[in-house]
Amino acid sequence: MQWDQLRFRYPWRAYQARILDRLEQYRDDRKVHVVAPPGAGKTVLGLEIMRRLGKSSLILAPNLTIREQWIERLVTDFGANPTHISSDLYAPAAVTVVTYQALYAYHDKRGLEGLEWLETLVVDECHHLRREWWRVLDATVKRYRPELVALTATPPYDVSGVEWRRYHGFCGEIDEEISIPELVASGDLCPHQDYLYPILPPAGESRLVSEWQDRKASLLELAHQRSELAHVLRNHPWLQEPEAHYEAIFEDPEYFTALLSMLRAQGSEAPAPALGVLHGEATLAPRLEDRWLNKFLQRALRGDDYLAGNQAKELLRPYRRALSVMGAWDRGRLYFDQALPPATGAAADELESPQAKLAAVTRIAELESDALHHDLRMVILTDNIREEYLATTVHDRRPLLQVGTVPVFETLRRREGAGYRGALGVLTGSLVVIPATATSRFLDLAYSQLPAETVIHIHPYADPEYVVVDAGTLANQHTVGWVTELFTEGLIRILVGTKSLLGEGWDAPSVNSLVLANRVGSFVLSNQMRGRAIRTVRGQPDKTANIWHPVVIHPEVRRGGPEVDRMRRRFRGFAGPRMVGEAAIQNGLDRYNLKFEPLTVHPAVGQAQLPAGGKSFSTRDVESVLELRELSEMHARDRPALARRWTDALEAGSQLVETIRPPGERYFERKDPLTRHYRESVGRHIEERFRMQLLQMKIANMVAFVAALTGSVAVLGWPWLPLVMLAIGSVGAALYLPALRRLREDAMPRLLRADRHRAADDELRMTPHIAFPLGMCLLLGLVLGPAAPAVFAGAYFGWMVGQNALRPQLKRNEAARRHTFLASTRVRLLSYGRALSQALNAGQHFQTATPETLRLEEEGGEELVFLADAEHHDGQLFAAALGELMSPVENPRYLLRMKLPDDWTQGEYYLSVPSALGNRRDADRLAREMSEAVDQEFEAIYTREPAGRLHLLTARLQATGKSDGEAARREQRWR
Amino acid sequence: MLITVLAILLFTLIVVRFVRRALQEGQRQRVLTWPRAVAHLEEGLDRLPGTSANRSGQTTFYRAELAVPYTFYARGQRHTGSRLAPRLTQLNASEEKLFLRDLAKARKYYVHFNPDDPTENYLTIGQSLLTYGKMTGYLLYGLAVPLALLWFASDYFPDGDPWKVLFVIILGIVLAGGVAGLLAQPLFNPGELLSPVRASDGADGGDPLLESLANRPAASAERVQGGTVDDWRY
Repeated sequence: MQWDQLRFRYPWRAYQARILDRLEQYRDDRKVHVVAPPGAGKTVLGLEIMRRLGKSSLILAPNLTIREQWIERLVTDFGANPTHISSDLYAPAAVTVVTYQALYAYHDKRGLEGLEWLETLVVDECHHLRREWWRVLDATVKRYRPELVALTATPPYDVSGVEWRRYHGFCGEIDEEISIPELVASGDLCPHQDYLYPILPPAGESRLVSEWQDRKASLLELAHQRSELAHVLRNHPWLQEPEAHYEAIFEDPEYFTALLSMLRAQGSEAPAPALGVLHGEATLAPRLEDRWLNKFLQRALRGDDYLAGNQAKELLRPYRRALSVMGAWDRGRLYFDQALPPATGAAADELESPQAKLAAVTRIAELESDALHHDLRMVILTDNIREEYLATTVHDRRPLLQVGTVPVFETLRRREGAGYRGALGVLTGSLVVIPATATSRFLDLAYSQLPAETVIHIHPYADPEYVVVDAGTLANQHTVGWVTELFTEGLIRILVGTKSLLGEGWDAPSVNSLVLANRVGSFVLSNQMRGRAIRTVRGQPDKTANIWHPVVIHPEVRRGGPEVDRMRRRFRGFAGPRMVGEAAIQNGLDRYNLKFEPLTVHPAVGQAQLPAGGKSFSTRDVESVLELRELSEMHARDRPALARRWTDALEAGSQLVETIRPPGERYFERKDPLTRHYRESVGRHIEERFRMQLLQMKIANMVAFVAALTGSVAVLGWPWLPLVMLAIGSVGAALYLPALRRLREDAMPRLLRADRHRAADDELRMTPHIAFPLGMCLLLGLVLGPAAPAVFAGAYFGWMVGQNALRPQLKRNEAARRHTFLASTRVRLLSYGRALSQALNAGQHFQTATPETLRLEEEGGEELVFLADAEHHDGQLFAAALGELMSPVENPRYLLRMKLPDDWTQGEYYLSVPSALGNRRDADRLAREMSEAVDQEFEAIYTREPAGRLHLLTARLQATGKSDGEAARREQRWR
Repeated sequence: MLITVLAILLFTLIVVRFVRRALQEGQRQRVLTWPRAVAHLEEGLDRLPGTSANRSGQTTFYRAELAVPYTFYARGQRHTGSRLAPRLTQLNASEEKLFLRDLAKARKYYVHFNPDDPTENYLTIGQSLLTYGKMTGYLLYGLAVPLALLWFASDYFPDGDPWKVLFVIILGIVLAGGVAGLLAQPLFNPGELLSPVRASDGADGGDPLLESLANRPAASAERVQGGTVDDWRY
């Protein structure tokens, strides 16, 4: 191939031009590694790099569709001669394009022989390969040492350290990484919005859910009834002789916790020996919720020998029976803690609320069709085809009981009078349906590409407006392209397909509306699917895209049910403009202010509280869910506003950064044990000082009385003495009395606590402290004359002022200083962030970032911390690690244990060592950095040995008492 | 001369006692500010060790310590303790009975422990050692009586036996009054100062559901007390 004769026909995008300018620099390590979102133009960039290298090349694509795309681009955009391109490893050409699977199959037959021609290797989306494919790829590169060009949209940031190192080792440093907002800002991707479309299951479909919830509630209530079970559980060997069962406890510490939780629900407490396991933290038994009851019952009913005895069996019989009636067991696993019952067959389908979901898709299609008319290019992605729902006659009105390509197509087709009528299509690997009016154009396309073939068969569909295309094996690989052309030309305006065919790599920039009617939660796949809609189209500068996410919300289920959970995972993977509040770009469901608890009502105004981020919605409130749907519909119709919102939001920054938000609202001020300790310490010092003042007042009385007696004799020689003492008394009183009042006010909240013994309260009444010295003065005045009370007053207040002066409040001031320091969310975020970034930097875990780039910013009253201008890998690593460090302990290899301060009264204080710092040296380093940053001493504890596991168990028990709101939150923000 | 020495001695004694009491009260006030922890008592083992007995072998005084210590956790460690109150060393037989009677009412009590050294801990905070009533006594017997004695021994005291007789009678009444006051003190019962742990304190988790169950009408509570729940329908 004459490489220098190839030319890209269009202008380069800004980021592509930048990479090409720096290509020589990036090639230093013989690896060019580019990360860019779907639709960014990675394919043409990869081809251009390959062209510039000008060597015999192998391109590896994840599937056949993408393989064809590479070939097509090389031919159409670069003008390559198809004869110089091969898709067969056994007959390589200057450019050989195959799938990873093909390389693996070749390796199976021939090993690594016969690939000597390989000089440049282009790998497309190489991060999610099967292990054996990866091994072959790795071996090939080691053997032939080609120059590598790695292109990916979604690096595997969310994988384990080993997998990341493998990926990183293979692809090398990321040379350039670009985010979706950056490409929207540069005009290389179109403005788009993700719309949640909440679906409330109709009464009939939610019956199973309500029954399940009711039965769960009944069983939980039963577990809270005091019974002999408490006695049996208290005698459980794990609780009575924990030391003899450490091994078993460590294998299943959650069951230990579940036993404590169950015991608590039964109104009993852990026996004293069990407290030793918990470092004495008797109050750590978590409240019995479905999670703990599930854990308890799973093992108690099927795996606990102690509870297999007759007595326990009898006591557990009601639980066994109830679970059996509920159908909570499935293949040996208990699903009591799930939001929905385990179900198969029709019941499982019913739980998906298919009819409501199909109705929602129809509603979305109508809405978009009404808004865009003939400009609509909508794609609806589903998981399965469900061919059994294909209509048999035009009057076929069978109920559609599942969601799938055919049911969606059928629902839309059956809709009378819809604007999209006659413009629907189905495109899957095995089924292609097109409008009858598009048949001739389809055949034109087919026979212009394959003039010698006669493999296209057109069959009538039940509805005369549509036909089924049978392209045969040979033409099948081209069908996608032909149907895409019909779609681009507008002969098909709504295309229904499967995610496996259209979800990844399918190229149709004209898509301006995408409905993800599937179950995908993974951010990699979701991003790939979204990539279909957000591309720009030459000649359509105003293109915008709506991406719809229908989601079934069960208001009666905590957190909204499994689909809401899936959406939470899905939305973590991409950032877009907020739907409510100020214009900003971020990821996650916070874009919608969607809460999972009932909204609080502001007492002053009597309406749902409006946070800084705008109106909130709740999955627990039907009205709120419907409001969110209306909001989505309203915004979706107003596409010009979408573009404006992007523009406004993009002005706020220049880079998408991974940030960490601190746990909960004012967590460090209100709930953190370290802050509480110092607050308590300050309170204790104040109370002690107040009590000492009262004691000193008693002593001052005695001292002043003796002074008054002596003074009344001395006055005979020193007549000025009373005046001097009166002056001292006056000054002393002026100094002392206001200070005493302030001290009393400070101490009162603590002194008035209801749980204190009344006998101690009586000693704090001020009346005797005032009456007694006044009585003394009166008595002295009456008996010894006016000089004595004057001397008394001088001595009394002189004593008190002197006492105060001689007792500086050093301890209190130190505790107050630390409290002020630690209660500040800003200080905590910064100090944790600084310690962590220094530890990561010292351990050489960063690629380019340094601790100096740590930034803390405030937005809407909330602080967030991030590494500015960091590579995405560093930003992700730091955010993930800080998230772990600042969240409740889960199961880290190392724990940071605080060496308890002198007057510490609570239990142990632990933090997780992030998994990125998973060895002794890194953990010790973090402990040192944290000790310095927080001004408390920390030590690293290895949790995979017995003593460490005890600490881990306690730490995990502490964590079970914490709510989700007490975890730090990761968020992508445009800054 | 003897009276002067007696007056000085009395003054000194009272001052020393006052200073000691003030220091002890200072310590007690600190104990009052200490944090509390829930202490567990062993079932059926409440006893105070005796320190002295009368001729018939009956114990007359008891050490102010539990024979079997209570246990509590602080700073992640298990601790034990037995002291009833700061500076309280012994109880008489009547006080011991009263105390044990009150102690038997619960198995879990709040104990005050020294946050710097939890091995120092007390079951109660004891009674005040320096009330204004006691201070009046110190003034009376530490200042008024010695001064009166000095006056009596001085040349300023009026001549004549009736004055002396009157003085001795008044002094006798004051001293007798002091003794009577001491004897008439109500019996000290440290049991009244105990702080048992209540469910509503939240020390054992304070579960609203449990509390609501506890407050249910007796009939429904009885239904499940027996531990058989076969009549539950599913």
